[in-house]
Amino acid sequence: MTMKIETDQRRFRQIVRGKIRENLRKYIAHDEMIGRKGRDLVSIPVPHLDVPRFRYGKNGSGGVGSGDGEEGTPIAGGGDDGSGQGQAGSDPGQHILEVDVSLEELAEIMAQELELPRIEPRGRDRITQLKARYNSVRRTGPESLRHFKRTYMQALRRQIASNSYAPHRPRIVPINEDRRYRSWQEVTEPEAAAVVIYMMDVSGSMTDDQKEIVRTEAFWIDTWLSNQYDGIEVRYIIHDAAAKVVDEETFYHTRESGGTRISSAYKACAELLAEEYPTSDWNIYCFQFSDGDNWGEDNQQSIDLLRNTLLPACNLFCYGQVESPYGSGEYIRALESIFGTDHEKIVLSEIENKDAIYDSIKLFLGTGK
Amino acid sequence: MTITEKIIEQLEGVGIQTDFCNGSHTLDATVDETRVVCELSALGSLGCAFEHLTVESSKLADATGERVQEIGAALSKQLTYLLEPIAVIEADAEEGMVQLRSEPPHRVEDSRSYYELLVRRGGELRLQRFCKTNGVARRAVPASVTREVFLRLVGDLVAAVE
Repeated sequence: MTMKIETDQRRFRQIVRGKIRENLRKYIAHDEMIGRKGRDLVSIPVPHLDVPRFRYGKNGSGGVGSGDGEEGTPIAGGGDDGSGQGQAGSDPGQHILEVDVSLEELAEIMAQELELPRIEPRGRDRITQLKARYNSVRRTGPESLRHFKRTYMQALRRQIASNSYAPHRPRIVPINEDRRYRSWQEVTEPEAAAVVIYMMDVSGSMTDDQKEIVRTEAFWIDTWLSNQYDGIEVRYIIHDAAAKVVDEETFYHTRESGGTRISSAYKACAELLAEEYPTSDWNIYCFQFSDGDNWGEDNQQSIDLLRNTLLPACNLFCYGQVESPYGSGEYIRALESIFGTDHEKIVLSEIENKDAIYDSIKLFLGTGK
Repeated sequence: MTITEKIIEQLEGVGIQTDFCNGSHTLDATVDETRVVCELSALGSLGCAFEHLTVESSKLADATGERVQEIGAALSKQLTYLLEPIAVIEADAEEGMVQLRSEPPHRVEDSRSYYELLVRRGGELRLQRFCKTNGVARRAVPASVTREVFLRLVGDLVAAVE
């Protein structure tokens, strides 16, 4: 039987989910609102959520069914006739409630709101892996796996059967025979391995604001792809005129002053794939972000590398062009002219500002590849 | 005769032309190893507009990446009299190239205008003004300056490669 509090809690979660969905565009554009809590939880401020609460009267100031009042006399309230000091505030009151949401739940909410299709892994289901599923109960096992609820249910069942259960004084005392333990079965499951490779231009023309856009977009992309694949791997490449594979911290906090050669990032990415992620075993997603101000003669070399090396290896190649103070660069036009706007593997997106992140994510992940 | 004097002479020879019949007029002056090429799109009694102003010098043929960066840094301090200050945005020591741009660019609604000065090893400085409107490729636009500023600009660019 479901307890009342569980029903209430479920209802509360539904309301929270609804509020998050309603405000998702805002959360995506201003990801500073979202606080990370460990690896799997985020904390989200949900505005305007009225939580029911008791309202108390004042002690000794009367109430229903007490005192000398006549029928129709207003109850409670009165008594304070003095003139108060100070004025009412002019700003609306704040009703911000921080709720913890798992990344999995957040991904589901995002998928519903952005109408994202579930990803179909690319032909990797012939790779299988043994996985332990805790889906059965046994009479023996380690204490760490003791199933308390089942143990007490078994004890209750035994006491009722032996007529030792007193409903007016319900004491359940499990004995050794009542103990139940969780147990696992090994199942063979198809495994789809996936790697996400982020490439970012960190040349002098990429400002901190632009990198913030990249960071925000990468967070939501990670959230969705992690929901779709178990144990997804994420790798980072930064480049100006030269490229290197770096860790996450370096990726988001490096600013170089060198020129922009996108081909250097493509070369580094191709080398990384060749060394560590054979295309026969991995679903490969590449996300590249730049202001598109590639130095003149490098466009052709970049496009050649993309067409001949990266595209055949990837499930999806997404290029996000982030607008710099000098406007959006010309690289995206070069890609459009070569690959068109409806290429099966390339998705192009111009990200003018933070508000455009929402549509960019929808564009990138809406392909279901 | 200095390069600036040669340019003054050529300007006087052109006279006042608000529109050149073939779209532009090229000024071209060389002294020793330095050459100045400028494509004028308009010339008035007070000022002119140019498509580009280029200084070529063999003195930079073997310049190191650091030397090219020094020239870029010096020019960003020197050229304070244009519509916007310019600053080094990107510098590629390996290729020996420095890109300077207006910092910040001039912004009107959805369009931005800015100077771009490229300094390349091999000996070229090229100054242009660009306009970028959202959704449209950036395009070079004439840079308008007074005659006095134009001559000062020629002098400073030439001095930078000396």
